[in-house]
Amino acid sequence: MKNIIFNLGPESDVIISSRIRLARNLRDFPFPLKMNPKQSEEVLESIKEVLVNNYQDMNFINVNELSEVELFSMVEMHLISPEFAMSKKPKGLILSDTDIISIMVNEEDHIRIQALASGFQLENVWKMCLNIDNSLEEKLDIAFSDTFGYLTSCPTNVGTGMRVSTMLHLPALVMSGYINKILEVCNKLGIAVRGLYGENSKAHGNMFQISNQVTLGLDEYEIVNNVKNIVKHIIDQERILRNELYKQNPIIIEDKLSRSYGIFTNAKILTSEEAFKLISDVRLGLEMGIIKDIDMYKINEIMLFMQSANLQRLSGKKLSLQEINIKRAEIVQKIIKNK
Amino acid sequence: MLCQKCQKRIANFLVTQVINNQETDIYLCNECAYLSEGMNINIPSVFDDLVSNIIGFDANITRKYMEDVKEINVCEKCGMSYQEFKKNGKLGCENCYESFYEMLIPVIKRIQKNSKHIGKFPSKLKGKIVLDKEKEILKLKLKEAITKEQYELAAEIRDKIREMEGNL
Repeated sequence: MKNIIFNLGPESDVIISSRIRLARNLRDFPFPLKMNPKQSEEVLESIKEVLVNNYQDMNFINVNELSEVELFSMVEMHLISPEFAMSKKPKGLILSDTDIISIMVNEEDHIRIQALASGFQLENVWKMCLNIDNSLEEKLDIAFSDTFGYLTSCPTNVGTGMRVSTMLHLPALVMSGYINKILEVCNKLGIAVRGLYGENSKAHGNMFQISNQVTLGLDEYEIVNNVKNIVKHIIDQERILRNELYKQNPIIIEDKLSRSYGIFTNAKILTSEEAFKLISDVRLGLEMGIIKDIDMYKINEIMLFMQSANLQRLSGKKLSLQEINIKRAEIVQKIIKNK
Repeated sequence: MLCQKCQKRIANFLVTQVINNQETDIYLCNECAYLSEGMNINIPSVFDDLVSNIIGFDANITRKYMEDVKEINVCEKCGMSYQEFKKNGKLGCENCYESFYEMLIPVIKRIQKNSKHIGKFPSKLKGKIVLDKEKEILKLKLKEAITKEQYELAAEIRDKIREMEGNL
């Protein structure tokens, strides 16, 4: 894996990553829920053929052969969804060399195109998705209706089939309690706020995923712009609050963040919850100039490799919970010391 | 078949009613089935991530409702029943959108606040979609010409529409 995603993108003090996914289905095949294994194979083959032949930097990965740990480390990298990792049906994954574009075949829909980039880069990821989408449409017949647009397995995705989401780090909004106001406003505007891994997941380490709810009746550019505009406001508010918090309580903030850094770099056992809490403080301390002896690239690297499946993948074996917590503390220190 | 209650909409449900210990079958449309006696449906007002909650109403009511109502709607292409869709929130194939059209429209409006796609479309369909739009406009013009009693113009427009239909 080339670690482009660890690099810093625009507005990276608040925005970790930008992501867009498009849901598509082939005509004349039932949706994955109703497909038999033969049909699943046929869908898989036709999509694979178009993409792997058209793009030199696209690789087919036979996910049916991967272990649980390998699959879930891809979930942690946000390359596939947890549902896709768990599904037992014939499925496939097509990944770009740089791991920025991933296409899941036979998830909830036949095709899920996803592009991911660090920082605030919604236009760029949209261009990447559009490019893949157009190539597929040229060669394959896509399920589409004049009224409902792109037909998807779930009506929550019908129309554009588009989910635009950004991952935000919002410690000051959480500390000040102002986050609830944000959630309220987003809800009113048809914008969903979720935890780190999307639907039904908790907000770990002050990380929030902000995405559009409505996929029908707006065109793709409007959807991108709606998310973009709301996210811009949230970035501004987070920045103002960070400054105010520090200005009004300099010693308290410095103490809190420095303590977290101390624990993070010296602990021998780290649970996932604690590690996420600490890394949020370390990230904030680094952004505010309070913590200086680490860089953001390393933080991003730790953030991925400290997660359970990736820890086990690195160790080359399945570990018990306690072993994972020990290994996590080791990895954190190893990455920090590594020049 | 029309709903036996309102006589307006298409019947989607077969409801068994017990009147004086006598079972009677009655064919009802979506709305009349929901509103029919003894059934009290609460539609959750807050948007919920679980589609089944949006589509499937309150669990207890749904259970009672399922005992009372036998759905006659099944997608002929993939064999999925509307009940199955309500349970897991996922459709079986593209044809389900047509099979369950009447029932899906309110669901989609509730989730999406819209019911018409205006975004991009597959390039292969470009010709057809543009033609459809032009035809729609011509049909409006035809109506206008007829109302204004401009019959010559109307005939011209009618021929154009016929020509387009021939081309498809």
